[in-house]
Amino acid sequence: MTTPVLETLNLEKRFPAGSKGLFGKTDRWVNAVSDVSLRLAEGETLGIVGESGCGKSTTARLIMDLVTPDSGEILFDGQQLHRDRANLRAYRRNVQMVFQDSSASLNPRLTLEQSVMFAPVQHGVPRAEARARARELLEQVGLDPARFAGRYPHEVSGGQRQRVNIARALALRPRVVIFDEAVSALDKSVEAQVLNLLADLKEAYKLSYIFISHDLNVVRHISDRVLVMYLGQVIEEGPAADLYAHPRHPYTQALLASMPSHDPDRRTTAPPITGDPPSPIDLPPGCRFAPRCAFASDLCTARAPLPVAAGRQTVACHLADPASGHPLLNGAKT
Amino acid sequence: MTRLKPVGTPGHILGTDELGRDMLTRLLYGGRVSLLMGIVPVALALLIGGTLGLVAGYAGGRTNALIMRGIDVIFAFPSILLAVAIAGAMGAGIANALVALTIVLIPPLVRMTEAATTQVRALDFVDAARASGAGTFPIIRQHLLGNVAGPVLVYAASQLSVAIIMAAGLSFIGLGAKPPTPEWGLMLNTLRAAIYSQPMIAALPGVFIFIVSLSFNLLSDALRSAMEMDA
Amino acid sequence: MTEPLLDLENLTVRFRTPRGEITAVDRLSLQLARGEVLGLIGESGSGKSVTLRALLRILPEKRTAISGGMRVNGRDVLGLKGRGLRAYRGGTVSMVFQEPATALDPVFTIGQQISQAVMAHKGCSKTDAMKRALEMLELVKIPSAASRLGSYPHEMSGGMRQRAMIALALSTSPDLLLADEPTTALDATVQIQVILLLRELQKELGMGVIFVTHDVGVAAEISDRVAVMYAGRLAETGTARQVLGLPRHPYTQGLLASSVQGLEPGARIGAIPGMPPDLAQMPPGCAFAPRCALGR
Repeated sequence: MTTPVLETLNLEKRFPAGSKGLFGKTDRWVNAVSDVSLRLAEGETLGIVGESGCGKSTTARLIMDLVTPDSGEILFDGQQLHRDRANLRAYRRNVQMVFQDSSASLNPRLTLEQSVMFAPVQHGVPRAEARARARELLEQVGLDPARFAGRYPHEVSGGQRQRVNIARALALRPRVVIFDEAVSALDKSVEAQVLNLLADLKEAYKLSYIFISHDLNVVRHISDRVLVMYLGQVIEEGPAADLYAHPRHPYTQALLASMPSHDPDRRTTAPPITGDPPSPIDLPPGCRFAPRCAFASDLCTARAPLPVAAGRQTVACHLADPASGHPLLNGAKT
Repeated sequence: MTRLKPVGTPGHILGTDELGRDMLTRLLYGGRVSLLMGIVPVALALLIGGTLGLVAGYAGGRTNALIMRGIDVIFAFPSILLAVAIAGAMGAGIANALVALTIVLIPPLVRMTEAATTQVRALDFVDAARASGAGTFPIIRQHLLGNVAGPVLVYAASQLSVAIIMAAGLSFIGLGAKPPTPEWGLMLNTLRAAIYSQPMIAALPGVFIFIVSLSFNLLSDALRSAMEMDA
Repeated sequence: MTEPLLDLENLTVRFRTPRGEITAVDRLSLQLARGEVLGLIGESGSGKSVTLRALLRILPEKRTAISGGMRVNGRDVLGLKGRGLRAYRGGTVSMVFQEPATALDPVFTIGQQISQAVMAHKGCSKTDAMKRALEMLELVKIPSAASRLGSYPHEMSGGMRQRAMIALALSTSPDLLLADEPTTALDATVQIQVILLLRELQKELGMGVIFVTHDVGVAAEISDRVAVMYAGRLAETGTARQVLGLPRHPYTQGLLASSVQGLEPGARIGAIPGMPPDLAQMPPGCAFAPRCALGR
């Protein structure tokens, strides 16, 4: 197997719940990310889906080292990432992130060109060259530099701002770009344009993507492989086509069945699961999905399932493991 | 008492004070002292408090807790009492009053800057800058200062009027400027005796304090709307 | 023909802004029958939310000019004032907002908020109003409703809050329910639950619903009829089956084509070029013409 360009091993992150005082110690924790291991192959797009509180954004921030993990490792090109200044700088040249579009994604006091130039200048690129590169990138993301270079973020639309965010992420010529809900705030017609743009840029710059979104349709469209997260854990992972055609984990099945049908003649008739995703503060024992799962048994609340291979997918569910002893396995299921 | 001449006396448009000195001249010269005692402490407090607030806001965690709790201790005293206590302990004089006022003005400016910094610090574009591998100093200079400066300057401008009133207060109770320096608070004090014979004259320094502090408040409001326009 | 529940005739909403006057809703004519669900689809700036707010008469009066006809139950809504207007807002017509977290008052419990609305509109006693509040929470299937009456909005999850918001909106038995992207802020598995709940309640209570959304899929799940808005104007309207199955307007076609739903993964998406026009500088003629493949 070839070395993945980016790999994480057992990333863990907990945040203290609520505010803590000067000497305050807290015994309540938000379990944002638990034991997340992922591999991103060169030239691949890895989609991460899940609902709010599932840890997908924290995972992105952990990979970007904007948040320091409690434990676990990040490997780039097979090399373990050490958190010293020189190493981090080199790593950050290679791994960049595009944030969700909002009025906060760009510095309101910098022109679009200045925003794109900032990172290269910090990495020692001469200003003139950085400016030329910024203009070239703006051009490439579909913004005529003659018209847009000198504008401020509040003078352009959301779709245009997101194009600048993309240009900014590409300014250091990274090899991996992480998109955290990067098209979620955009109108559908603009979202389509940006998705097409991402496909073009990926080819032009030989990029690898990690694409995080709550929109299952968009993730299927763009991803080669997909990772499904629930309450901080990866519960299923596999090639996009397989995973969407044959979801193995009951949660993945419910998530896919929750997508609106788009056809007024074939409406959804019953909700696939009830209730809201629970809070990541007080985790249920055993399998974290058990309280909402239609197939949960005593085994599920007693013991957390480990990821097992099922076809080309990996699933963390007792039902996918023939040796687990789940009562439903003794029936017709194979 | 004959030295006191009413407003409108030929040669003394605003009259004269209890020693026969021209009021207009003294009020104008007094303005220099009052403005100095308003602007200098605010400028110093902005420098010191702004830096502390920026550090506390950007560093977060323990550093933040340390700075902010320290500030809370100072802020726990009513500011005018604290100014009186400090100036009283150090003795009368303009320089000492300036120090006292600066100390009193620091805590609100630290709080304001810290709040603004913490807010901007959490925005995505700062994270994007961090993720680009930029160092702390360039991030603060390029991404934080410009966005924090606006609200902090507006607030500082509003503090100018507070400082002028407090300075006048200190001088009024004898802890600021000393006679014969013309200072509005001090003049208000020495003219107290004239309040029944020449009430207009006695009120004049007060009117000037009022107009100047009102002007600074209007300036602060104008700054705020100017900032909003370009954001 | 019976009188429609809602009759909009050339509804026009203009805002005075520092940059000049803009027309947020431009000559919109729509009708809604009793017991019908209309899905109002459009992108940001299309005027869909403004239409709802104009219907509820909650736009700032000083900066807004509304013209055209707006009748609910045959009554002229634009002529309502004072007491009549208050009875209309929240009584005849009520609204479910996108963000229940901000639309609910954080300092009152859910029970208090619903019972206050009931008392104001039905003039019943506090005990009866509380009873009604409990009924409503049960109706929207909030588990252990009785204990939830005493909960504050922040103590509830997002999906639960939106259910509470719906309970509040329905507590006064409105004839017309306005829903402004009520499921957009919710997670996928919760969104479908809320859509199904709304569908069920609508059938049970027989009210008319205008459901504003930017999501074609959500509109398909809930609407009998669909209206597509673009730049403040109505682009196309018809039954959900017609509009979503066989769209006639190039914009609707483009909107459906730009969805990745049902598309071969990785294939090019048929995106509409350009972006919606600036409402302050509208193109002459058809608002969609500059982006239209069939234009010129």
